[in-house]
Amino acid sequence: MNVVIKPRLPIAVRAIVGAALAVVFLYVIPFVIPNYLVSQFATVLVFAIAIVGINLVTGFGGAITLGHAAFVALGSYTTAILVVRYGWNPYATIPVSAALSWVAGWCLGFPALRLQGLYLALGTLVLSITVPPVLKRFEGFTGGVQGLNVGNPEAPAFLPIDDSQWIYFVSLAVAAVLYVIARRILSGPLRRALVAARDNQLVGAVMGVDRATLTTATFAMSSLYAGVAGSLYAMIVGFVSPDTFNVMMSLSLFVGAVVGGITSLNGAIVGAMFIQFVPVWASDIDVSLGGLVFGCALILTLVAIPAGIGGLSERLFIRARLGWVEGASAKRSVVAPVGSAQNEPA
Amino acid sequence: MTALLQVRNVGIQFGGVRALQDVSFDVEDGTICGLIGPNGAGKTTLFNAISRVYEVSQGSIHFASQDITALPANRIIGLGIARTLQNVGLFGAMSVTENVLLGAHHRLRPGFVNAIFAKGALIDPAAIENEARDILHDLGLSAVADHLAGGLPFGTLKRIELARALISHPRLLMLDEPANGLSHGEVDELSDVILRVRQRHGLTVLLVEHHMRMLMRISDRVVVLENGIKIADGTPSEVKADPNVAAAYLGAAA
Repeated sequence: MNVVIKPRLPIAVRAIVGAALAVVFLYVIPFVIPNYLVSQFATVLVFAIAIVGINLVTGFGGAITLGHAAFVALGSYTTAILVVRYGWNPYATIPVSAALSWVAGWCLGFPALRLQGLYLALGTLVLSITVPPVLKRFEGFTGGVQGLNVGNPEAPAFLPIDDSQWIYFVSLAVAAVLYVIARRILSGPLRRALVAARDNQLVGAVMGVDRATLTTATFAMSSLYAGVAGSLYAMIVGFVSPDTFNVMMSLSLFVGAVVGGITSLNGAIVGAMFIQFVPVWASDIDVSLGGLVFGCALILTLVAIPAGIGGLSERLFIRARLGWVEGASAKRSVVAPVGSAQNEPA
Repeated sequence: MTALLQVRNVGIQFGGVRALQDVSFDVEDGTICGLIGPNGAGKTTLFNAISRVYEVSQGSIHFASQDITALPANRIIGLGIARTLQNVGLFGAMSVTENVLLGAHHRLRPGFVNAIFAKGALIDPAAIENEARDILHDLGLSAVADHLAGGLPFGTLKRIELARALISHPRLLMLDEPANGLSHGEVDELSDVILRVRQRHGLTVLLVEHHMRMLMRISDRVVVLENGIKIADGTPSEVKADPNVAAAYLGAAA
């Protein structure tokens, strides 16, 4: 019932799951499926990175943001401008994008803190509406409506893989590092502090949690994820243009986060696959179906599985694990009546 | 030697409503001070003033000779003032152990950099986890340590809050109606628990309680509030004999 046990499976099972995931991500996706899908899967990884950012700020920071695409744009344009105008190595631009979007997150997170709930959602929505026109305005720098041609990074000659496989592996490496970082952020004391500040500000403060700093730092971290995703996105597509980073991108990232599970890091990849593939498939059937499927999926998720697909599977996983444990020690989890067994002087 | 907690002429106003007026009292180091009064007397308001959740309109509050009247609420626990809340401030989405560990937040000082590189924390998290386990065991909560806090009985939740306050290493423990919702047997047991943890952790206790028998039994000193004003202050027997207190409680003509 109300029992939480860390979902740790026996080492053999974990090794098998890990090996299966490794085979899928390192072999099946880059080498088995049709080649045109490989770069789409690279995009999936990039969306997943951005969605992990939403998991942090919305799932754990409790702030609804509809302006995530603005930070993705910041990362993309940082890479594009440094590569096109200053001749940088594209990989070297990733840390710059990360740092810039982190700083931008701090600067915007500070006033954003003063807006609660719906107002923050509206404020960030305005942010993502503002970005494309601003990018078009500074034509000399951003390339205006035409955008900038970044070009796809080429695979090193000594590796027997093509360019799309290469950028897939680059994205996979970056996504893996960022996933581990997010896992660490969301473990132990910092997770507790985030949940406390999110669920009850007063108690959080009484427990010594400095909500203002914490939320701003979370906002900055989330922007960093979006910025890195933007950098990789520019390299995968090979081209940036203002209208890519419109409100629709913010909304679809948010839908991806909800469908995958707003507090589920593992769900981010599911949400990313959803926003990458489902609208395209639906549009193949009927042009107008894309948006409809999106809307229905969002409503269905909210009604049927508010925890999202990732959250649901984690919950089933815990339940399965519990069955396991309870089989071993049948009554361990039963609540002892308070005051009966605990009166003995210690 | 000055008292551990000094409340001086404290007044709190909400709009035109005076929730507290000119309240002064001291809590000496190592004592248990009871705070009583009819509903709406301002007991919880006073707690909120000391833990800096409410702005103080007049007067000052000193803790261990430091003026805390203008500090932000999140600094208080680090100074050594821990509290429980009247209606229980636990997080249903966290396990009991995690709720308790939250009480050690200021000792761990987690930041993003620490979390990512798994170092820089002042204290080893494993040591804190062991401490949490010991405290839960001491309070008879080992059986529920891995449960989610949501859905547990009220008496258990009160006890978990006490555990959470203790892990913060407080000097002053403020308990807001700890016996609320407990049965007779549980109240006696709770008194013993409070006396025992006071002894073990060398605590000073400030206690709001409606349960008169318990309060009179364990308090060294009792402060009585009525309508935001202090009407009596003394040992339990002095307060019991005070005609003002009887009037406040029984509504007798003064």
